[in-house]
Amino acid sequence: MASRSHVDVNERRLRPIYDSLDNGNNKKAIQEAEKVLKKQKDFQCAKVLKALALLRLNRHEESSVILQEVHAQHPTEDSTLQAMSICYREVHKLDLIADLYQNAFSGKPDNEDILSALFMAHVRLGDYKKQQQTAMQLHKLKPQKNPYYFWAVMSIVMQAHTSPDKKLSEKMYLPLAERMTEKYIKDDNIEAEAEVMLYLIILELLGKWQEAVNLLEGPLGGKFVSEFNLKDIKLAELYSKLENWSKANIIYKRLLQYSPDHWQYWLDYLKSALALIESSDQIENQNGKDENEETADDSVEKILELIEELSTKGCSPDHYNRGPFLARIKLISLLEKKDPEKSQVVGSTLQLLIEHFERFGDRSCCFGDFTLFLDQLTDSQKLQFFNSIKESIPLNGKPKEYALDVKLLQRHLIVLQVERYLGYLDPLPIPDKLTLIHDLIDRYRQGLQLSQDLLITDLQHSDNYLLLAVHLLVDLWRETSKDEYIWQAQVQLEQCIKKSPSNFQAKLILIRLYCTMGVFGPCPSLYDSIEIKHIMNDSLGHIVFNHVARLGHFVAACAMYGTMLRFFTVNHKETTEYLISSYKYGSFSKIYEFVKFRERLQNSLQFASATAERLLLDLIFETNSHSVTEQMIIYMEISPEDDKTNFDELRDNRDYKVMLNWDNPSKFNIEELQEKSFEEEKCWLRVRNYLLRILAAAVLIGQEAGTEAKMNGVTEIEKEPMTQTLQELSAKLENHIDDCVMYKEQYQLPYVLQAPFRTRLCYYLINEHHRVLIEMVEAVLYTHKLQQNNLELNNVEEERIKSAIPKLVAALVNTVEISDNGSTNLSSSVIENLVLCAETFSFTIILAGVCNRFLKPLKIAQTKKLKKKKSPLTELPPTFENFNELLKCLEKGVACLHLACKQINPGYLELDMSKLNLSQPLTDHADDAIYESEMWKKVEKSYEQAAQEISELLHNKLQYLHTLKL
Amino acid sequence: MTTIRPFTCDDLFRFNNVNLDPLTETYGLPFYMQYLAHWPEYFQIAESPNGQIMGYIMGKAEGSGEMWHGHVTALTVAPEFRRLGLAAKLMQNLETISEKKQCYFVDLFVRVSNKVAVEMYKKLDYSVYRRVLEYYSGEVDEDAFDMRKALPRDKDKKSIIPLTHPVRPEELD
Repeated sequence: MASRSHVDVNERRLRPIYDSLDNGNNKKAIQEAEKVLKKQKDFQCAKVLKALALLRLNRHEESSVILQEVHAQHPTEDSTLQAMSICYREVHKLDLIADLYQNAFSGKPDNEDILSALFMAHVRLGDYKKQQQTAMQLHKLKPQKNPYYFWAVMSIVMQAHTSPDKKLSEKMYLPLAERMTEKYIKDDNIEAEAEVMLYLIILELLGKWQEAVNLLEGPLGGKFVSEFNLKDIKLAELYSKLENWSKANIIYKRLLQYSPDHWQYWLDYLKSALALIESSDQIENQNGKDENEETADDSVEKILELIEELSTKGCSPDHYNRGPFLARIKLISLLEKKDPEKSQVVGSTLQLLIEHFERFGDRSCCFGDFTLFLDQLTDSQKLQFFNSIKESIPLNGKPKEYALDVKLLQRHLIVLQVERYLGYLDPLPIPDKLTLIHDLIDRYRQGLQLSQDLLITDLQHSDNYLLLAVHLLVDLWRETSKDEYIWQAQVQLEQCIKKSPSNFQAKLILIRLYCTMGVFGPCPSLYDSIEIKHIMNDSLGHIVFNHVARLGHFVAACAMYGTMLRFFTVNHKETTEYLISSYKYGSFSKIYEFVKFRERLQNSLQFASATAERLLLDLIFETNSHSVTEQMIIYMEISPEDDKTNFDELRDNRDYKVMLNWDNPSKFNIEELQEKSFEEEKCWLRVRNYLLRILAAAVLIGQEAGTEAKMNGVTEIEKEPMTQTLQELSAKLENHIDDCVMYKEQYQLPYVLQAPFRTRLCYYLINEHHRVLIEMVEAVLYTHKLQQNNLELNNVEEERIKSAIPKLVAALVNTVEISDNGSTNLSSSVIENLVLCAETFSFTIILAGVCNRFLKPLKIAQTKKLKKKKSPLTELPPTFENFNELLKCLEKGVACLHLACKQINPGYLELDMSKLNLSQPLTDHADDAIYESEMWKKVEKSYEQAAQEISELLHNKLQYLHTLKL
Repeated sequence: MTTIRPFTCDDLFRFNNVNLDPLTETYGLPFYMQYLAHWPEYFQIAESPNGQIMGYIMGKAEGSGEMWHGHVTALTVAPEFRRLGLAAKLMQNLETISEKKQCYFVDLFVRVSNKVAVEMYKKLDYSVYRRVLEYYSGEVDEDAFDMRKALPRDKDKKSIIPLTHPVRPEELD
């Protein structure tokens, strides 16, 4: 009793601290904790809660001192342990949680809660071996609790999944897991569905299909109740693997009776039926079948019977299921190769597709159905099909007829989409395409009348007319390189999203087109309006990621990279908790899935790229003196020795299927283009990572030089000197650039709206930005040597500083072609090159800053010597003068870029872009002119913004340069 | 024609064509993972033959005693796959699972303004059990209908007798 009241007192004392923490009032929590600690100075939990409050106030140092102290005392009390776990979780030191509970367990070996928490700590770390051991300890402690035993089994399965040695998995881990489960089955100890499920998982991993069938059909099969139809689905899969086609066929037939539209079941059903037909050709029908027993479908006739039976099952009159209908077409294509005669009995694909259009042509998914089969037709059949569906809708007469009911309009759209898919638009001459575009826009506008009962969240029925027109405009642009087509497309899309504010398709295209034209300004609000958040940062972030900094919108870039990175870091912390939940709820099938998912996020290309770009951007944008750079490099914790990105594990999580695409994959295969883009992205990321590591290495050498002098000759032997690392990195960058040559022409590739945009690598390579950096690294190493060996001058190196680097700098400035005629400067490549130059200048200046670190003390020393000797003949070595000249050259370069900024700033040039006749109105509709002038305002503003931001950056760089003079 | 199968984590990377619709909320990862870990059987996705995601349903079973019921947390179908009866099919599956779990009823919340959805649920035999005031927060808060359908275990259909007064979100159990 006494001890109970003691607990109550403690609880009561801690209450105010908990309350303050819950309310987010961390300062108050600290005060409350201190109050308690005055009375009870060894109150562990109060201490830890104080540490937690400190942590949340970002006072990490103080917090960790307290945590270390309590940790060393090996606490065992529950609330203390929990509070400490929270602290460690917040700083993501998951190994300390395991250590904490390991210590607590030693103190209280019979405490189930502590041991269970220790298990979870190992789960967070993904330490499967220790998980297994801990689960077995739990099992020994509470042998009557089944879950603990199966946690151990699952931990073994995870070792099998993750073992690099596949043999070990097959011969040791999985058999062990199997034996352990079988023991429970033999002893009749199985309780939960989850336990049988785990057994099934193990059998499947072992490839023991027959055993798995036995399990499902045996008494334990009755345990599978949660997941819908799971038993049948699994059995059918297993029978297919065992090539027991008749059993598989019977089950798929049963599943189809319940879901006549289930496409995967149809595919599997057909596969099994065809396998049966083949085998029964050889061995005549098996004899002695029970009359009542279900029989498999082993003939085309029987298949057709099922298709007939299910085609209207569960439908209202005059309605049909699409599944059976398409299954018939699928059957033809499957039979064509094996038994062409039979396939003709089933029907003709051409005829069935035409019928399909009659039945389902008023649904937008109809186009997707066609894409499955259209390519199987011959060219003349394709044309026949197209003409037939086109003529089936009454819109071909003269004068022009419009689709004035939604279903007819939908049918018309399908016809147009098929026309595009079949490539019939490609050979049209430009004037015909333009006529078509006008027609589509006209139909779009007419279709807006059908909007009476639409909600703001609905799309206009006729929106896709407009999108088809936009696709055609992009085709024209690709063909002719005339920008006016893109500007016109943008005008139309702007109007479209006014009428259909939730049409994300139109917004996705608009973002893409603006970025293509070098105009980033309107994109953030479009991006926000489609609410890209959470996981979409990874799958869709690319739509702005590749452009925002490329086009000089640095402030927006900071914000966007920040949001992306937060998504990855926060989720990496949070998602571990759901691994734990899966053990708790026995969702064993989800555990490996979650582990893989976490890896996929952690290895995301987007994550790695955003990390590199964010760091580089900070170094470019936030530095105006070398001391700021040095602080920043320390804060960034970049390790020059190793690349943080594991390129072999990198994953491409970008979604390029989201945009509507009516082109045939044989014209543009988006998947292939994405694979190529992924390789290019990796190459560019390597360049960026090398840059970061080079800068970090150089800056660190500069800092060391300052401290080494004080340490007076105490050298570190164990580590490779940083200068060597720097030298190697520079060589690696140079080699890597050689490997990238294939991307030099990337900007000339045909433009595909739905496919990934190129990286900045092509302009980087064309203008050889890496060269000045590599030369600067040599200069850093040389000046470092000068300082170390007290001025051993080398003429070649002096020449590098004196003329080689200045020449490269001047060449870079020339890449920003600025003409006197303002309007021609408004092109996306001008901004892109300007930004690239500004970046390279920033890096060059940082490296010059490192040189200054070596040369400045030297010069001071030299000047002193000179003064002492008072000899008029001795001069200062040429390096100082050469270096100052280099700075002057950089200054001049920055000034040129500054001027270029002004030249792209419509505000500065007092340009009214809408008056430049950069495009003609596409239609004579009054709205076109209004929207066009609005669009030009957006474009102007965007260029202005970019020009201002680049100017500001350059201004910072000038300041930086001024501090470097010797 | 559709393939309905369990939702997996990898689907989160490709459900954009569904989730960019303004009425479909994209949640933080913990939300999806909580459902996947706890009620994987209630999280189903529909895929078209050419591999596009058409829509999905998320749900759970909760409550005690006669309040033990299936709940529809989210149901969504991409614009181009609407009017195919897909939502009805997904609902039907969820009801079957709930029946197997011996639930008394299935319930869901829907914006009162979402007339299309309310009508659809009515067609599927759901009725308004109560109105929840300002359940959805936003620029303007919006009320929700709590709609229910009794399952065979609730023989007398007690669970769906409508409340006469609207309730506030904090009064929900």
